[in-house]
Amino acid sequence: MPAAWDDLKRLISGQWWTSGVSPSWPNTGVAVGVLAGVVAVLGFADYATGPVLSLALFYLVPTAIGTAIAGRRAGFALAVESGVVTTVAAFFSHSHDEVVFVLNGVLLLLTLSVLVILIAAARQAAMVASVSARQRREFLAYAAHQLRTPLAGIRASTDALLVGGATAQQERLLVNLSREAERAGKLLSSLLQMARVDQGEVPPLQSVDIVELCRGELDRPRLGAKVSTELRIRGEVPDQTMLSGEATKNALANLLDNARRHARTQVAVEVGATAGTIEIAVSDDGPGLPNGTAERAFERFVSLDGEGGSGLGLPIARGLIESQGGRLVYERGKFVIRLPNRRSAGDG
Amino acid sequence: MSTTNAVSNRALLIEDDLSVREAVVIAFEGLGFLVRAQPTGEQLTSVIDEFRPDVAIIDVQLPSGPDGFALARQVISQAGVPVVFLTAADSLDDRLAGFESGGDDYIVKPFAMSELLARVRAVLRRSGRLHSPVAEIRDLLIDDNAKLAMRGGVVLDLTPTEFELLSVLARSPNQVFSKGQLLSQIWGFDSYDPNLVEVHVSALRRKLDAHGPRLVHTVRSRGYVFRT
Repeated sequence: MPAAWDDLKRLISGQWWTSGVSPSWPNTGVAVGVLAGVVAVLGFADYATGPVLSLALFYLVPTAIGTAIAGRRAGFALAVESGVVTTVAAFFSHSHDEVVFVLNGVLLLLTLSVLVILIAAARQAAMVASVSARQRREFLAYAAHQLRTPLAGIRASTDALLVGGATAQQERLLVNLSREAERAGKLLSSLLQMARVDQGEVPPLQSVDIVELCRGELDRPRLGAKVSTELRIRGEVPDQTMLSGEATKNALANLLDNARRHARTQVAVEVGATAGTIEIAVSDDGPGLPNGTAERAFERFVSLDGEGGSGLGLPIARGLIESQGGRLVYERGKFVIRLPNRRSAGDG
Repeated sequence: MSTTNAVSNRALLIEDDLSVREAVVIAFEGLGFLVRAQPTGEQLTSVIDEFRPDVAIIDVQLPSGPDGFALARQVISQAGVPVVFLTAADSLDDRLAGFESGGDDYIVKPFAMSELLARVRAVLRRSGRLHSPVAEIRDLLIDDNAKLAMRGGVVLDLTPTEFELLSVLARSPNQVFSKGQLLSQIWGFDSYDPNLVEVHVSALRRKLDAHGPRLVHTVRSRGYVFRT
């Protein structure tokens, strides 16, 4: 009953009283009925449990929830209702001493009001923070996206000139131009990927042959002749696992890029599995990360090697792995991806 | 030589961005393709009938008329040829939409010409539309479909890169290729290293020279040439 729920929220948040928009029946009937029911339950609870327990359980909690869900007005409305109900209930049940009775009511209202203000302020702050974070991410995604088209034109034109052939000098400049365009393009891709990871995009899971995926990334032909590669398989790795092939591939590609840049002669990927976890470890025979810098390497825009990388490869890789419920850590000189070992249906 | 280069592959390009369009046309024509390019899908039906493309390269986001996915469906149903999408969008959803509309491959802008070329050749190869897939030059036989090269009846044990290199050089015999030209056609520049071409050419040469006289020659300060 979403419409009635909306009307209820509007009723207790006071929108109807101030907006002048007349509510429609029968939703309003339902909303008022629910509210009356809540008030009645609170009154009865107070009568049945005594004022201390009822204050905690039946007034503070609903006031807090009301404020958190529908805002300050709703919180105040609930606080006032609570105060009235307490007063009435107290009048008929416990005490007929008017001074104590009024003091109790005022104290209760005061307590509830402070609670309402605190929650509303926290809620407001969270909202402002989330709006500005979202705007920042959206801006980043938009800017990166818009920059791609002109960059594509530069890149394609430069490549076309090179394909056609040029003098040695022109060629040197064209190669620089093409390489710079390539770098800018990669940086844009990284920024977009980071923005998407930040948006909390959860990649769809599919049935993937993890060994094949690792082999594919390791064997990408263009990646130079300098470094030899090795794929090791440890124990029983299932043929098919449920994970995001795309996200895992991109994360692994980032780790391999890193490893290739720092390796002396060799890069290795080791795939292993236990009952609960798939583990992919990427290592190289380079110097490794300096002691105590492992976590800093996962921070954004941190490039520890001083070679002017984007500083986004590792945080993106971590984000892509975590988005599918996994972990990416640096342990004993290796980058280790741990993913939940979800067997595919139909894989025994 | 008995190559059949006389028959060129025909590529239809639909791309609204002027610089990308012109660059692709010039590069592909330079590599022996016949290209027909237009900014939108206007009069697509008659263009397909008249031009009879072997492959279509289509930008997904076009400013007017049907989008690239719709055009791809038309190309596929009318001409039955493979489609490679060009696009600035690269989220997973877009990628899937591309394949659902029958696209054979997808390349994200900005792209390296070498990569577009490799993908176009790959879809042509898969669909059996790559013209002159087999070339015979002297005692050398190159089969692009099987990615196989033979010299004097012996299969050469080439890496994929060496094969590409041989195929590019041998298919335009007596034409000097500079390092930059070879890089732009085979590697792209993201792993560019001035020695990359040299390393691969000398490995290729070693394997070729084991079965006969030298075919790939160095032209000082200009590049490499396959001499017949």
